[in-house]
Amino acid sequence: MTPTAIGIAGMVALFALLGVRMPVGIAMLLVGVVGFGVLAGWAPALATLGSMPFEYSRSVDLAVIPLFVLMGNLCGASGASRDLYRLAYAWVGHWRGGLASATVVACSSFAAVSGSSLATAVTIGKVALPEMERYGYDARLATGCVAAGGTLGILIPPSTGFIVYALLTEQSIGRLFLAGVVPGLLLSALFIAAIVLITWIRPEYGPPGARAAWGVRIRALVEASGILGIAVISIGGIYAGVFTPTEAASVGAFLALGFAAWRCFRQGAGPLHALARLTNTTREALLDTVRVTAMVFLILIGAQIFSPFLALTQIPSDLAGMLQGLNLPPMAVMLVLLLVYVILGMFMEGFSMMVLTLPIVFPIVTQLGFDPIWFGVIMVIVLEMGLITPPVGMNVYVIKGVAASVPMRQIFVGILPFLAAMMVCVGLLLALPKIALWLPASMVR
Amino acid sequence: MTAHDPSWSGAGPIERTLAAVSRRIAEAGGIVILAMMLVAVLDVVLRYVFNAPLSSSYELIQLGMVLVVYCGLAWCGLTGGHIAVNFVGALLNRPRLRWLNAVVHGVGAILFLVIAWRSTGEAVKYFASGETTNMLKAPLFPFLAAVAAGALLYAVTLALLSVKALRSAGESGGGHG
Repeated sequence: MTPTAIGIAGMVALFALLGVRMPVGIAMLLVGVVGFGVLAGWAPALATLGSMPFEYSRSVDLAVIPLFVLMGNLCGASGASRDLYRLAYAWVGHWRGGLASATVVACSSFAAVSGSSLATAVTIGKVALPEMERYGYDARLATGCVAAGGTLGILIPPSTGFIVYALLTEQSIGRLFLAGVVPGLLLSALFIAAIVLITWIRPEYGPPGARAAWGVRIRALVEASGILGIAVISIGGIYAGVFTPTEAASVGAFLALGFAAWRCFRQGAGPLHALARLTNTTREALLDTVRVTAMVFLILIGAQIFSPFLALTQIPSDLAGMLQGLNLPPMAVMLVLLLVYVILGMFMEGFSMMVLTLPIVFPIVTQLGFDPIWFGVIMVIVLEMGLITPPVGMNVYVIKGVAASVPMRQIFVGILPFLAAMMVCVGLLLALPKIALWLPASMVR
Repeated sequence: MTAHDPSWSGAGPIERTLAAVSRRIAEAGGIVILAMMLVAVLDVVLRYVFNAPLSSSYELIQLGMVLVVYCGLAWCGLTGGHIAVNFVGALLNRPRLRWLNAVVHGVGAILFLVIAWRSTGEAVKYFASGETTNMLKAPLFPFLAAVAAGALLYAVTLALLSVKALRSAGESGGGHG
């Protein structure tokens, strides 16, 4: 068998294993090791299984994951979502469709302490959905804006999506984070524009909330300043060159722990009670953090063994060469790639999609002359689309959990305008890569 | 996602023990995360306030990360946290096809058993050569042993999930004739 044939057999085997629901990381590990054994011999393959799991986990870059997840978990557990929603509500709630816009603003600010879309959608959804229901918001608009707003979680730094992309493609985590800021704000603005447009055509979908007095607005800002401060210090520190991403995550988690402690003690049920509460909150936050870290690590190590196998088969470089030989305009190739991603995203979970496709797609994209940081941003937005498109839209499932009375179909319908906003965002990024690249380029080194 | 897989509510003694053990180990991993956090914060403070960075912080975080990852694998597997793709929906839940689920977990168990075995080999090698980290001069073999132990625990978890899938296949298959 030629290496190419072995590579193709490997990919077929991989998809068969995924088809019978083998965890993605295990499937990639298995196919990678067997393929490696066939191509390069069993002794080196087995030696890799001995050294790689240790060498790869011994990474400071990888530590960014648990530390940022912990920061998000602690912020979420200490009532950040309520603070942020109150703040957004006080400032924009009285607009037409204002509660929905406030939801988007709350999502984008929560995204600045959380790297997860699901967490953003759930935590903000729990606060925002009952409120919108109370004001008689259309269920489609209400659930749609939470599902879409949640996707900002992995675009606005910190972002588990960017960390995984950076680890897989050996790009800078800090630069990717910063590249997500402006597109994240742009996408939030586009979401709000979609809400304004919907409620302009159908005012009954989103009646305005009560107008908050200036005193209330300032108080809400003060209440939320703790969470906002954590976000500004950790991400701002990366921008200013004060911290590495690992340090930023540690400082952020440390401040979040302090914030959680302050919240527990402020409740005034005695110091012992507060300490017990804090211990409990921290333990749950840590357990979830360890779990998420193990989950991400398993697919990363799978990729770490699968990618070299695929590279050995020459398939990625052959494919990239072939595409170059066709002399297609690079933008046409990019559009086809993005279309494929959108379709794949309907059926696959985002991380696994990224891990499975990058070994092939990344060489193609860089050979065509696209900026890897810019592509990371586009990729994350396209993954986000996958999070809210049927039939497998993870964000929609979790929102269904919060708003049980709204039929799934209606949630998917409610998402359509926001999906259009995301497409506009991708279009703008394709036309003007500077939107993403300007901030990291101006970063203090 | 919940931290407790509901299918464990009716678990037998072996399963319950495994769940309790892997939860404790995951909690230990959580404490390591807190320690990593403190080391990095201390490094930042010492660097900017006292102009005396903690030279060993990099290695401490590296080694801590090894422990965190392998403390969490089994707990994550037991609580259904590892990502799988669902192309065919509920088709695989049919009693007649549950054996596939058992095979999938069984193969995973063998793979992680191999990883545990090879990592033990590496640990022995590192112990014999006395290899340490550059700055701290910390011996590396205990961390390889931790990798082996974590992989072994995950292999046991996968084996248990495999047996469980097979058993439920038998029960459901029998129940529905």
